Order: sequence, then structure tokens, then C-alpha cells
Amino acid sequence: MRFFLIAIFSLVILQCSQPLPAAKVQTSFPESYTPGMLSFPGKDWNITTPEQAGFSPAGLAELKEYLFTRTGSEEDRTGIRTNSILVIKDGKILLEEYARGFTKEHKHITWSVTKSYINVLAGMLVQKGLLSPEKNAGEYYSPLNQGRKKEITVRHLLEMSSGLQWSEGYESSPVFSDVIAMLYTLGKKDMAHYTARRALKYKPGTRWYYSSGETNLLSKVLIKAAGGLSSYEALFEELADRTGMESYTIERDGSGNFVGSSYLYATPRDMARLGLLYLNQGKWNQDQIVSPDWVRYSTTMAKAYYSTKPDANTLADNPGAYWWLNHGVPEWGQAPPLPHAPTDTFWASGHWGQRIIVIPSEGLVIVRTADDRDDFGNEITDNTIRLVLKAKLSQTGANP
Amino acid sequence: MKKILIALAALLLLVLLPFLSSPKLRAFPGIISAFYAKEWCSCHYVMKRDETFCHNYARQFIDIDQFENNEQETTVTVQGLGVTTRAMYIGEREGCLILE
Repeated sequence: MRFFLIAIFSLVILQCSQPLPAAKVQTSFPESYTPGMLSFPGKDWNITTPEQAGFSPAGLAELKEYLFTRTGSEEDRTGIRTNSILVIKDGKILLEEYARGFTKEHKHITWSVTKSYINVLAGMLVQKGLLSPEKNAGEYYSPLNQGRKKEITVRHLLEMSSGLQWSEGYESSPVFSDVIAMLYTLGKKDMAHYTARRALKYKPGTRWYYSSGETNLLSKVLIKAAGGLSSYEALFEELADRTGMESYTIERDGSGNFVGSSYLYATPRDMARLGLLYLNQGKWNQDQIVSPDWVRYSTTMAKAYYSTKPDANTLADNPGAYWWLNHGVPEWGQAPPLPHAPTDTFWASGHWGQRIIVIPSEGLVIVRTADDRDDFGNEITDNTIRLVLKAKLSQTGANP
Repeated sequence: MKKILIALAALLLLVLLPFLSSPKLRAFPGIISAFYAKEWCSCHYVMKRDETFCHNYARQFIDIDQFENNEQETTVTVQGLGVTTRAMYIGEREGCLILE
């Protein structure tokens, strides 16, 4: 018995201490990527028909049927609860449909899609020479300028690898969730400060963990880099002006900082503008808003992910810098999270089904807003992409 | 037997003490009203949805006790689990904010 216990214990220790197999860092944009002919919307969008865009109307109808057929009851808020779907092909609207009382005029909560907007603001500040990702975050935000927290860089915040202790978790564990406490109770006055006070649990840059707190910390860093809160607010207005985003709301915490983790509201059409900007490597028509290098960086797997022992929570995620990728880790036998999507697919992802999906190789941007209270993981996103690609006609006019 | 029960109770208290002294646990009752007030406010004033829709949107697994929407002051006051929270719609760009 004693021998048996020692053997089990040794095995556990061995398993815990075994280094992960070396893996190649994957990126979504190859060096040679050249975007196709894209149409950029002004106030209004150009519309294309399925026939013009090379898609089957029946195939797109199948997509609509999948997304808009209720599979659960309204009373219980179960099943697929799509509020809108927008498919943009080469910058033109191919499919647009709304449900549950939403229209193209309604702003929709984007939840964690907001994080991808914080990524753009960071990229704009880098482009302007006002932010250096390699600098210590403490240089911009003093609560991080103490003890071992000094080692946390801006890049670590962009890649959710600060090492600060955090418990992400929503309605399923509201009692111990840091994100719930941050948004609604203990952290509501200053969410960055709430996050910065967490203990440093891991060496910065060594462990990836999904943390909404880190985005709000980064947002505080960006305020300083921008030159103050009003300059930071002006930066978002600048992004909106340059991309033609007309109608948006970004809510603040008690200190005035953007709730960059969660609270951007935008119309699906305006959300699609962000996808189009990144599809075109940071250039809006002829206006380079963030550099192609920034888009490439943002769609490259977070370094710390490769030194983080995978578990059920992290396996479904392929994190970039507040964008989500579809590479998997072949060296670990880990498949891409979206099996039916090309490996260059990347997306912004928010609670309850909000998505901005970009597929560079297909010239596609897909926006979905929803109120999915069931946890579908990547299932609906994968099926949406599968059905869009299934609807694409081959050059002979038949479905591939 | 009595001694055993006292010892067990003391042990249970010892185990629960870290949880009872946890700030997050103590703040928990406030979540119900804060979530409802903030998300109802944003649903109605930012997303421009009607009251029925927003009640269905903001409800949680624990029911609230009181609700008041003041359209003139654009405030939403909610009581739940003995805690009252007020959220306010600030404006087009800023949306809603939890006041207290």
C-alpha cells in the first residue's frame, strides 16, 4: 500500500514538473498577406447579393434557420438566442438579419468584444509613439510600480499574463468571481485599482489566464500614455471618426476609466467596421490607423500560453492580444478551437454570444449579437462559419 | 457527546472563518441589486429596449424585492437581498454608472 501511494505521488509530481513540449508560436497573418479588393463603407454600407458575391441563397437561408430557430424557451432563456447576424463579404453586406426586437439602429452590448477595442486604442498609441509595449506598466500606473509587480510590462497586460491572482467566472460562481466583484461591488469605483491590488501569484509573462481585470488595468495605462482622461476619450472619438463609427457608448467606472473589459455598446454594423479594419491590416481605406505589425502582433498567440499547463478552460482558447485565434497547438495534439474555420480566422469574443469574426483568406467579416444564456462554448461560432462557407459557391456555381 | 458537538462546531467555524471574512463574500448580497440596476439601466437607456424586455434581460437566479425607474432623472433603483443600489444614465457616450 505504502509503495502504491509513493508511486502515485511520484507520478503526480512528475506530471506537474514535466515541461510542456516546445511549440511554434502561431500567427494568423502571414508576412506575405495581401488583402483583396475591399469596399469601405461611409455612413452607409454597400450591399451585395448572394449571386454577385458567389453565394447560394439557399445556403444563406440555412444559416438563418440555424441561428434564428429557437431551440429553448423564452421563459427559461435557453437555447440559441440570436439577436443579429451580419455577413460582410469584401466590405459589402451579404447578409443582415435581426430578431427579438433588435434592428440595425439598436446598439447592443458587446461584453468582452470591448477588449478588442482596447487593443485598437493601444495600437493607435503605439502608432503615435506614445506607448511602448515593452515598458513596465508601473511607469504608466503607479500601483504597479512596487515590489515584483514592477516586472509587469504593458505587453503582459495585452497578453493576459501579468501573473496577478484573478478568478474569472460569471453567474456560475458569483460569490468568488473577481470579475463580478470588480464590475458590481468592490471594484466599481476603480476597477484598475481593484485589479492592481491582487497578489502577484506567478512571475509576470509566464502564465496565461483570462482576466478581465487586466484589460481595465491596461485601460488605465492607456489613459496615462494618451496624456490624460480627456485625451483618452478623444482617442476613442478619433477611432470612431476615422472608421465612420457613428453610434457607440463606452461606459466608465467610478474613476472615469473606460470599462474596457466589458461595456462597449455598438450597432452590429459599427462592430463590423472593427473587423474590416483588421481584415485590411489596420488600414481604413487609405488611412493607416494601426500598423500591419500591430495587427500581426495582435493575431499572434500570446507567448505565455505556451508555458501554461493546458486545462479544460484554456483548451478552448487560443489567445492573441485581446483577439482569439484558431491555430491549436499541434505539438501538444491540441486541435484548433473552430474545426470548420480556416486557421487564419480570428475573432473578438464577448459573453452571451457576441462575436466579430474575421476570415482574411475568404475576405469575410461576420458579426453576431445574441443573448445566449446557455454556455455554447465555440459551437455556435464554428457552426456559423461552417454554414457561411458551405453557402459559398464554387466557380462552377455549385456548393463545394 | 456534547464536547464532540462543540469541537465539531468550532472546527466548522475555523474552516468557514476565511470565507466569512472574505471581502468578496461580504459584498455578495450587493451583487443582486447592483447587477439588476446597472444592466437594466443600460438595457433601457443605452440599448433603447422597453421595460418588459429589460426586466427579462436583467433578472437573475435570486429575485429582487423592489424596483423603480425614474425616467425624468434617468435613474434605476433596485433592492435585493436587503441591499439597495442606484444606477444612473449619464449620457450617449458614457451610458450608465452604478452610483451607490
